[in-house]
Formats: sequence, structure tokens, C-alpha cells
Amino acid sequence: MKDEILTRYVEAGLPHLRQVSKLPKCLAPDTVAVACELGDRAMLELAEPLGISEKIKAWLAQAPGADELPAEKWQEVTGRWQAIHQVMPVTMALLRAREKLEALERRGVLTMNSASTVRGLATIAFAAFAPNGGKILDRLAVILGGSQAEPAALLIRYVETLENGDQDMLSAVEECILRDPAWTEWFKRFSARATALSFTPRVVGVNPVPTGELIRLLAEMIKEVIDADNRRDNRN
Amino acid sequence: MLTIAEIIEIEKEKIARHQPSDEELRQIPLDRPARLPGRLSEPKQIQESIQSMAEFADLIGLAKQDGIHTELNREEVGKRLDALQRGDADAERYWIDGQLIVDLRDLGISGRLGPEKRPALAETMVDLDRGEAPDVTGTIYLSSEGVSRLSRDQDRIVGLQLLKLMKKANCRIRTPYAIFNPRIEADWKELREKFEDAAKESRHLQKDHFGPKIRGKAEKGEHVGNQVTPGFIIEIKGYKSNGSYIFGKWQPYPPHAEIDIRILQEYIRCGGSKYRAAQALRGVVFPFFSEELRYMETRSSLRNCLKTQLGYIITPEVIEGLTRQMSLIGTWKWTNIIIENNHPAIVPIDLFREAYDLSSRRGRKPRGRAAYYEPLDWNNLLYCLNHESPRRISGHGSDGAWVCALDYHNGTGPICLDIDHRIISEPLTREFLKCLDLGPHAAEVLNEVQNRVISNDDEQAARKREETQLKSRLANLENYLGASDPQLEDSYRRQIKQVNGQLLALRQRPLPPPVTQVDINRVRHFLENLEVEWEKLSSGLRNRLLKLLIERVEIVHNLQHVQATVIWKMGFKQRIDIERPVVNSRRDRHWTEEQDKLLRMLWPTSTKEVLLAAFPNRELGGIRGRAAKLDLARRVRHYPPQWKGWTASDDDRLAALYITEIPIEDIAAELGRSKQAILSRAWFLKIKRPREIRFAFPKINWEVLNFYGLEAVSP
Repeated sequence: MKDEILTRYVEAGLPHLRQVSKLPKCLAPDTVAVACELGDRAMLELAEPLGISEKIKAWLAQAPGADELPAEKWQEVTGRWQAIHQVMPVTMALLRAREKLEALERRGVLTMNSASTVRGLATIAFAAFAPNGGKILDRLAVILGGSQAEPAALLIRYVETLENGDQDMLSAVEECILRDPAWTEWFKRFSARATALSFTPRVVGVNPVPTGELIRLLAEMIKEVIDADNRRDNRN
Repeated sequence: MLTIAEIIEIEKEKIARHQPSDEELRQIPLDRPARLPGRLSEPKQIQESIQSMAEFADLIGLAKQDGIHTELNREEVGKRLDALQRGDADAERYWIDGQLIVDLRDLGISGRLGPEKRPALAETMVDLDRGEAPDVTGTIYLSSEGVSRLSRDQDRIVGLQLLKLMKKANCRIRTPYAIFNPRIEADWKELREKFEDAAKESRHLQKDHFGPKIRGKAEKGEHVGNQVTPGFIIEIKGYKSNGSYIFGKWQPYPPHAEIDIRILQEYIRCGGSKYRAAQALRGVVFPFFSEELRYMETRSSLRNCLKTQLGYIITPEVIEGLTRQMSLIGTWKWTNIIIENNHPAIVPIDLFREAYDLSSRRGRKPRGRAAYYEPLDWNNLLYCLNHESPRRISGHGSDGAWVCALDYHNGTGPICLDIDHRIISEPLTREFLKCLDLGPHAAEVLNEVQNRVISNDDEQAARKREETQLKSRLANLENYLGASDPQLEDSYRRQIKQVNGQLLALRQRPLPPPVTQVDINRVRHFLENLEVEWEKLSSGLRNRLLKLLIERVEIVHNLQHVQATVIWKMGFKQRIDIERPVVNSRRDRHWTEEQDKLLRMLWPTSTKEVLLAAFPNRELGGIRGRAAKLDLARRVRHYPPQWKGWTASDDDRLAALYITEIPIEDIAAELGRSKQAILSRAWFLKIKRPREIRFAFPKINWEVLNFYGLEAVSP
């Protein structure tokens, strides 16, 4: 396996994935930065419990460099991926879930602990794209009342359950995930990696046009902060 | 490697970011039309001011010299002007030739008048309002008298409007000696001063020419052009040779005089509150003048009022004005001339006296010096949609409140919104910053910061400004010296000494060392963690950034919720539903008859718990106070079920908990006592709850929904 080839694939492939799935640039803008910080090893470690790590390694061993692939090839391969149509709805559902959960947390009515909540959301969202994710989605669909073919709807149902504080259903979801050793291990590693990140990835990132006025204003702002710090430090 | 298309895009972006220099801004835009407006104050000036008329013709030559395309020549224009001077009725006053528009429709009309009376000015303003389009006037040619040919508005409104429009349209002003562009700050200032000078000059002319004549009329108690108080009309004594009126004294106008009496009565009934009086008089209007009194429409002070289909609305300002208007009791007042019983009184003297007394008592406190408040972060961005058309919500920096009260001030409705700014600002700011991504611009910002920090210019400029202010204050104070009052003289000398001290201290204060510890990491950290740094910034800067990136925020509100839609300039939208914190408003605190009845029934025998359960939104103190007011007495005395002494450890625990954010109810539960017991013991032990905890701002809850254009992010 060449060094950081998977990371390079994420970096090179993301624009094509965005284009094919119609995912706007401003959604999940830090994906590449997260991939770079994790690196190939951590990403493969994450894939290990789901049984796809070896396949990826084998594929990477003979894969050409990410930059060598022409744009048409990227588009073709991305378009052939079965789960591509899930990218947009699942991302949207995740974003809405985040908005809802933050609101519930502010109100102080979130009954479930945050680890369990994130476990539920992350498992449903990632299972939609994992090769063996159909099984757990099937089981979760039975509990939440939905279909494994529509993971975005399952996410919405899960958030509604959180909102309604339906403890029985939430416990059932939790139990269902914890009973599956592969997904339990996956979430353990996922959680550890996420908390170890040196920055908090943005979910939405609106990037304004860097006009002269904006740059001047930002410079003025940073100077104000630095000068204030400087004055405070030199007061005596 | 970059493709050629990408390189071209980069170059295009660079061009887009390029700021034109002053020299470029002053260049005459030859691809846009030029306008040559002509104005002289009086019709007879057209015949007499030969030089001014000749100057119009010279301007054609100047325009051609600048490169403006036109077939007109000086001789041709001279002939047309001659026709005008001869008083030829068919003489043309407006013509377009090539790129030059010559508009002489304002010849003979005073520059003091606004666009409604000056067709050429009106057309220029409408044209400029279209912005920087290729067919919008790019240059205005003016004779050596400059902007006074455009406007001599005494209210200084038209001049400023024109400047703003010219700035919007990037339009130059060309005189025989200079070119100005209001987009250049120095030019804007200079043009503004010139408009000011033009207005002053006109006033002096008016004073010199007509002053003695007007004073003579005023001394006779006759109308001299001042605004006529509602309730009066002006007697017409005759007509001048040019058809204008010769006015005499004011006469009562009964339809309005009746309303004046009602207004004063209501003002007194409302204890001197013009706002409450206006609310009470909602629906009452000053009826429009009848057809034969049409001339009063422009002469009555009611012309400034809002109108409905029925008449002029009574605004708080109208009410306040009337309470001090001596003309209502027949007294004529013009500058220092006061004539009693000049015309018939239209309101009873006692009524006026009472209203005047109330009004002057309320206004006795002198107005302090205006203080500058930094704008609220979202100032000028919030619009209230609870009206037929969106209304800008005012940010009251001094009170820290968002207020939408136009109807209230106009006396046409209640206050629409008056809310602590934090309730709206906090959620908006948090959600805005959450989505804003400035990280990619770190390198450009660093470059700009480095250019600035090297020179330490800002600090020096601030210091120079401060020094100038102090020097100017010193000069003013020294001018006051020589007062006959020794106490005043002493005060001035004391202040001079103080200002001298401040000046000395300022000069001796060392300049702070220039900031050099700025690197790309610091800049990146700042941009990526703007949420953390936000509070350290001045609200003026925060407001500027928001105004740069946000188009507007539309607010819809009711008593429970505020729904804000943030519209970014990049097309991104966010809808934020904010729950308004439950407040114990004054209206809610009022005791209703039913509540009084219930209290009468319960107070004599019920326990404290029963009372609190019966009045869930009230404190025991409030219930007790109301009972005392109603003269109610307890028939049964309730003692706590068991009294428990306070131990030293209880006191220590109380002291530890009382200064934290834990609610009193929870402390009471933890110590196994009542809330009252906790409060009493804390008072006894002299433990004080910190002010910020006692008056903690309620927690704000909100929910956000992000949009992209019309499509919701969420399914």
C-alpha cells in the first residue's frame, strides 16, 4: 500500500461525489481536512470492524494514483455506486437532526445521553453506505417503523422519537446496536477518533467572496483583538 | 497545474476586487450621457442675468472639450438662450443632442424649492436613482456658481439626497474649474459643504432683501410665511400683480378648532403624556381643508402630518406642539415679537394654561449632551414583517433593545415590538457564526494585517484626534473667560486647568509598541474561532461585518415566538424560531376582579401552600401586599409543621450554595427547608446573592432551519 493513498482518493474524489450527488460545497466542508488528519491508517482501522478494511487494502495495493484518474472515470465510478442517491437525503437528515438536537439540548429536554444519541445517528447514517449495513438497518427499521431502503426517513423517525422522549423505543434502538458487535466496535473507534480530532469539523460552511472590503475589515478586527491583548499584557 | 480558463478566472477576480483610484473616479465617463441643468431664481433673472445665461452656453464648449459627443455648438445654444431671454413663449427649454441633455426647465424657479416644484431637478433625481446603468447621467455640468445651481434647500435635505444619488450612480460634477465625484470621501465632504454654503447664502439673501418688510408685517400680527397652527386659516387681503396672495391675520377655522380643544382635554386627562393622548385619540383626525381653502394645505403645519382618507392623523408631535402654541389663545409670536389678543382665541384660556403647565413641567429637564453609543450588532439589518410592508426595526444601543414603534410614534397604533436585544441577537449571532467559514481567506487577511501593523498608524491617528479635540475644547473655554459671574469664571478656569492636564498627559503617554507577533497561525485561529473572539470585538466592527455579509433579517413575532429569517448576500438562508422568555409583564401583574374575589375568600383561613397554588404566577409577598391593600386579615395563624434549628454546618452549606446559580427552590429542597426560610437565614447571615445571579437573563431557546435558496436543507 502506498502512503496515504486512501486520503488522496478522498481528496480527489470528493468534488466528483459532490457533483454527482448534488451535495453543495457548503455542506460538510471539512470532510477533506478530517480525512487528512485521520490518515489512511485510522480510516482503515475504522473500516475494520465492518469487514471492509481488507478489501480496501487489496484494492489500494493495485489502484492507480488518485490524480492519474481522469475526471470522466471518477464521474462514471461515482455514478455507478449504488448508495450515491442516499448521500444528499442522509446528509440533509443528519443536518436537520443536529439542528433539532441542539434545540432540544438548549431547552434541557433531551432525555437520552449524548453518547447514545450520537451512536444511534451515526450508525443509521453510516450503515446506509456500508456494504453490510442493510442488516442492521433492517432491524432498526422494524423498531422505528420504516424501511431500510430509506435511511434518511429512519433518521427522521429516530429524531422524532428523541423529541417525544419515547424511552422504550430509544432503549430498543440502543440495544439493537449494542447487540451487533461489529457496529458496537465501529462506534467505539469512531467515537474515539472523533473526540481526538484537533478541530471541530463544520457541518455548514458558507464561504463569502473575499472582497477588498471584507479582507480589510477582517484585518481591522484581528488587529483590534491583538492590540487589546497586547495592551492588557503590557499594562504594568 | 492551472488551466488557462482558471488563470483567466483568477485575473477576473483580481479585476473585480480592484478599487478605483481617486483619479479614475474623477475621469469623465464618455460612454454615459452628460446633463446640463440651468436654474435661475426668478423669471426676471432670465432677462437680466446676461452673464449667467452666457455661462450656460460656455458649458457646452466645456462638455465638448471633455469629449462628450454632441453636435451642439455655442452659437446654436446662444440663439436658443436669446429666445428664452426675449420671453418667447415657444422657446425650447429641454433638448437632447448626442450624449448631452440640456435641461433649462428650472429657469426662473427658486433653488429653495424641492423636486415636486422643479421638473428638471425631479428628472435628474429619478434618472440618478437608476444606479450605474449605461444610460444614466454620468456627469452634471454646472456653471462657476457650482452646486447652488442644483439646490439651495433650506432643510439641507435635497442637497444630501442628490449627493447620495450621485454616489449611487457614480456621477461626476463638472464645473469650469474642477471635477468632483461623491464616491471620493474628500469630494463628498466638499460638495456637502458647498450645498450648506448655498443654503446659507440663500438665507442671507432672503434676509437682506425681505427681512425689514417681513418684520413690518409681523409687527402688525399678520402672516409672514410661518406654518399655520391647526385651528386657523389665513385671511386673504388681496392679490399681488403676479397673482400671489396678500395675507392678513390668522382666522379661526372651527372644524379644526374643535379638534384642538379635544386634543388639549385628552392631553390633560392623560397626565401630560403625548403618546397616551395620541392613542386615546386614535381615529380622530383633522378633516381636510375644503376646496376654497386649498391654499391652506401647503401653509398649515398639518402638511407635515400623515394622512388617512378622512384627514390628517393626530401624532404625538402634533399634540406636543399644540400644548405650547400660544396662538391658540390669540397671542401672536414671531421671533421676539409677542402681540396679545392679535386674533381670536380658539381654546379656553384655562384649558391651554393647564396643558401648557403640564407640557413645560414634563419638558423641564434640560436635554443632555448626546452620547454616542456603539450600534447593536444587527443594527440596520432587522425588518419587522408584522405590517403591510416591511419596517426597519430600530436598534436602541443605549437601552439595548430592538424597537418597532413607528405606529406608536405616529399615534396610529400600539408599540409593535420592544424586546431585549439579546433575545434576538444571541441566536442570530450564534447561528450566523456557526455557518460562516472565513478560514480560506487567512493568507489574504495576514497580508493586510501585516501592512497595517508595521506603521502603528491607527494609534497615532486616534491620539492626534484626541489632541485636536482637547485643543478645541481649550480654545472654547478660553473664549468664555471674562464672565461677569465670578463663580462661572472660577468654573471655566478650573476646566481649563483640567484640560491642560489632560493634554500634557496625552503628550507624555508613550506610544504602545507596534504589534509584531502576528503570523498565519494566529490569523487562521482567529478566523476559524470567530465565535470565541466575537465578544472581544467592538460592536461597531461586528455590525460592519454583518452588514457586509447579510442582506437583511426578516422578523415575524408574537408574544410567544420570534421567527427570524436571515438572508445572506450569498443567497444562503436561515430560519430561526426563537422562544420569547416568559416575562412577568406589568399587564400580567395586574390583579383582576376574579383574583381579588378568590383572595378575599382564601386569605382569612388558607395556608401559604394553598395560596401559592391558587395564584401560581405570584409570589407570597405579592399576595400578602394585595391582601393588605384590600384590608384583609388572617383569622387563623399557620405555623410550620415543625421548626428545625440551623446548625453551623447548615449555615456553611447555605453560604456555599447561596452564591451559586442554583435556584433558591433547589437550595431549599437540599436543606429541607422552605424558600422563605432560606431567604431569611441568608439575610440574617448577611450572605448576598451576586447581582448577575439575582437578575440573571432568562435562557433563550431557539431552533434553526438552514435553507439554500428556496430549497429546504432538511427533507
